[in-house]
Amino acid sequence: MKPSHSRLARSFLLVVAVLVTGLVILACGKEQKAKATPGAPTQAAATTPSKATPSGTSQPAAASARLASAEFKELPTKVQEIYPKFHPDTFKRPDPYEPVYGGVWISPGGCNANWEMIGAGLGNDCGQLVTARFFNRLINWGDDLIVEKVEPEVVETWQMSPDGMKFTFKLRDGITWPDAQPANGRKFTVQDAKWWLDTLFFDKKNSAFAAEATEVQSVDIVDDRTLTITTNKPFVSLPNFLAQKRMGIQARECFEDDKCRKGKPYGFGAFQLKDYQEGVKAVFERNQKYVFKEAQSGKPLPYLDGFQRINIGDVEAQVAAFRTGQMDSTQQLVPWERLQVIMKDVPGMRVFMDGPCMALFNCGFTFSFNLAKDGPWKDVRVRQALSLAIDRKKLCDVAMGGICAIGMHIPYYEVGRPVYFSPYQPPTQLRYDPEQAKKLLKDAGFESGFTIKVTTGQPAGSQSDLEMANIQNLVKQMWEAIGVKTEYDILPGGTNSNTVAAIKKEWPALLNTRYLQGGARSDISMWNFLHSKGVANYSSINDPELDKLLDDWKSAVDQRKRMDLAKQVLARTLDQMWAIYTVDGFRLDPYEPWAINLAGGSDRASNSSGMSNFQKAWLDPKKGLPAARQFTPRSKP
Amino acid sequence: MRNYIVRRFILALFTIWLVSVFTFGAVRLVPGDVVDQMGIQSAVEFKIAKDEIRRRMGLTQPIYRQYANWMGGVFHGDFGKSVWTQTSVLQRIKQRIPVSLELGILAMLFAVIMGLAVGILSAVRQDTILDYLGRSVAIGGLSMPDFWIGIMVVLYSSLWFSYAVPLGYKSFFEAPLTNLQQIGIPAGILGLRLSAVTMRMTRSTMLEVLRQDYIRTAWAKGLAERSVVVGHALRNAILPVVTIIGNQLPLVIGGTVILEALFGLPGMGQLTLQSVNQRDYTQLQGIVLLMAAVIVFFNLLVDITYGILDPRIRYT
Repeated sequence: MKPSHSRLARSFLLVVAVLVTGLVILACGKEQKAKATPGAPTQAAATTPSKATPSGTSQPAAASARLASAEFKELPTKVQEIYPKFHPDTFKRPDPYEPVYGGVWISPGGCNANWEMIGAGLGNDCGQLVTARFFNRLINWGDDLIVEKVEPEVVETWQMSPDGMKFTFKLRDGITWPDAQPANGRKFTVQDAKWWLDTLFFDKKNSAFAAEATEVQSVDIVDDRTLTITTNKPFVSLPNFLAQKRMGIQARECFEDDKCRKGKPYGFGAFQLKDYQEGVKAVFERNQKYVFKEAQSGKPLPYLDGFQRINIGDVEAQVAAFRTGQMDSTQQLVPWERLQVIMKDVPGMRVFMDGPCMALFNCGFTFSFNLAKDGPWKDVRVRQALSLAIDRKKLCDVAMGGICAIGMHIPYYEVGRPVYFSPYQPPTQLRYDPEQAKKLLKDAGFESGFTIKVTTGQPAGSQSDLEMANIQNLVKQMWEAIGVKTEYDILPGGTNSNTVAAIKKEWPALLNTRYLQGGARSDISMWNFLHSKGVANYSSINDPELDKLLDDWKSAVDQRKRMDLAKQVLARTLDQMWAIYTVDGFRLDPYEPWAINLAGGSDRASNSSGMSNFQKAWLDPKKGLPAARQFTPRSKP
Repeated sequence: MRNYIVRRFILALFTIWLVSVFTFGAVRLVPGDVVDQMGIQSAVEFKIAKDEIRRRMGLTQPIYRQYANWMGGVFHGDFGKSVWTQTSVLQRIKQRIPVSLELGILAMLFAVIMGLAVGILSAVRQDTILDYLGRSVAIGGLSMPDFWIGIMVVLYSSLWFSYAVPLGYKSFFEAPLTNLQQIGIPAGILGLRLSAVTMRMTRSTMLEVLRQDYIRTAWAKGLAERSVVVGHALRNAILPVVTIIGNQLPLVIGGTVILEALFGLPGMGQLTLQSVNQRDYTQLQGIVLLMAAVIVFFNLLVDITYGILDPRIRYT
């Protein structure tokens, strides 16, 4: 019997081996084949100039000048290849423009069961989801994702006095609260606006922003549609301040009721929260009393019947849902090669390309030094040497697949550039020059090098974490080449946050992802980070020259002067190298072919201000929307 | 027997208390507290207020007092409020338990049916192609992690069959078919791993029992195969298998953490992961304490079941 069993066993194993090999070849072959075929659909470039309108809409800015600029040609080759196809300023509105009313937009995303929106520190995404996407603000960001220009929304116009200390807002007429508890469709009044602004600026218990906008002295009603904000110092960034993503106007009736405020926020916007199941989904439905119209088409908004945010934690599951048309958008996907594979599976898929610091949010992996602690890093030559030893081109190519730019605190347009700084041709201070680095170390008395302990986060599994891990390793090697030994003190937890900085740790140096702080205002953000009195000055920078520049920038009224001061702040920062900027990858967000109005409706805060509020987004059922999701368009808005 | 149960029960309580102390301390040792986590996206304004928020949350109290307050609440059936959401810990757990329970029961069911059936078949048909196939599946199930199988299933079902599990969890009573689609696949994946262990244990114990004299006697008496295998062999071989099944409970709980995240199921696993990430102390303490209690209880149950299944076992 035994020999017979052995033969059987051998045959069985052989069959299993052949089956497994076949499956593996089949699986790999499919990916390989797809990989080898670039399938990126090209979007035609729009040439409509950016134009702000009172209704808060604008056409995407012209891309041609940007793409033709010398600075653009300095960017990595791969960026030059991909950017023109997918950057938002190249998206063209469908022609003819016939938005469809109805349908529900579905996108991935979790929520943390806490809806408080302006309270101190409640930086959870539920509250921000509502305020950023669904509640109108007095002033909001326009659709132009390039320059992040603020435009009137609930106000019709605003004016700033020549000294930058008095702002006059004229409210739109005919706005009502949604037909639901607690305001029950009553008229939105100037008293509502005043109460909201008073709460934002002066209610220290409930508003985290009260501590930030200390310049504001009073909010006064002029007539039934006009109010003024008076400040004790020039506050040029006030409109930007009011356009931040958590500034969605809320109703007094709900805000003052603890249960309502924390349980089911009520505000004024195109959509209202209908249902929320923790860990499952958040469902929003159309506000039927919404009175806003799209400026270009004159059509009433919103187009969608609703919006759902479904909780799917895993990226593969999100991609699977996207592939099968269950979702209209999914989270950013990298690397580019992988995205190309998915584009093969989803014909007509569109991609939104977002870049470092454009988003006023993720501004790249940055090394900072604790100047309150003694160590070689207190010598500016050492910091400069450490920067010169970093080959940013290599970081970009290895850690980000060549699709990156230099990530900095100050957005490129603040310093008058058309695009990001390139790691291939960086500013002088960020060039790769190991010989000069060694010389500087020698001049500083550290010819034989030293050891530096860098506190950083534990890379987990996200793309950003993988990039972080690569940067940790590469920079370690680069610094070792000039004799500086790096020891990473890795803290548990992800790296996509300021957690590392928030932890009270006596770090000599820090590697983390830097964010712009203080909302979307670069001047305030930089002041917080770099000013000796700044609340986010973790490095204990104390430079009177920089302090003066930052103070001047914060209070400057003239735009040209502001840009000049921004340039000076950047130059001073780069010269003193308090923070060593590295690189940051571009993000690529996929959308289904039927998901229209990407610029105005993408499900992500395309900038940190969360300008995309879905009110102009719509679904085209004729463009491949799955049968299960088909809907009968509403004939009447 | 009664004395044994009482003794074990007291020991179980002591174990749960130890777990409570450990959990309470361990979650607080993780760098960055809940307030720091809350400040992720709004660090500037938050920095100003966070000491005040810590005070309001009771995090500035001495650690022993915090522990005493928590335990006091537990003894009164109140596990406190989630420090993140300010909602009842027990309420959130109650909302999540049915999902995990359904997933766990289906997975265990799958594991027991698959494991016992394949194990018995493998033993009875030793060294045949059925045996090799069963053993290969078992080895495969053991060597492939749940999350990997899960990812492969998600990835290739969408690639090859344009199929993805329906979005947005629906309960069985709300939409039975959707629910089974949502729960069935992760339960199968979880069960596959569990069944592998059960199958191997069943096979080896069955083989041992099948070689016993009394089985040969049963065959010699001309009893039917079913009667010999199920009536005589399985009853004696199943004891270690019951132990294994009982011990698999922590695996089920552990496995759900990843699978629930992967398949978007709002169960205990997802809540645990979320609580860890958010440093939601009270929520995490509540979950761990309850899980520990369940596991300890099941172990106790397994030990007691020994006595019922095997009359030779006597407790003193």
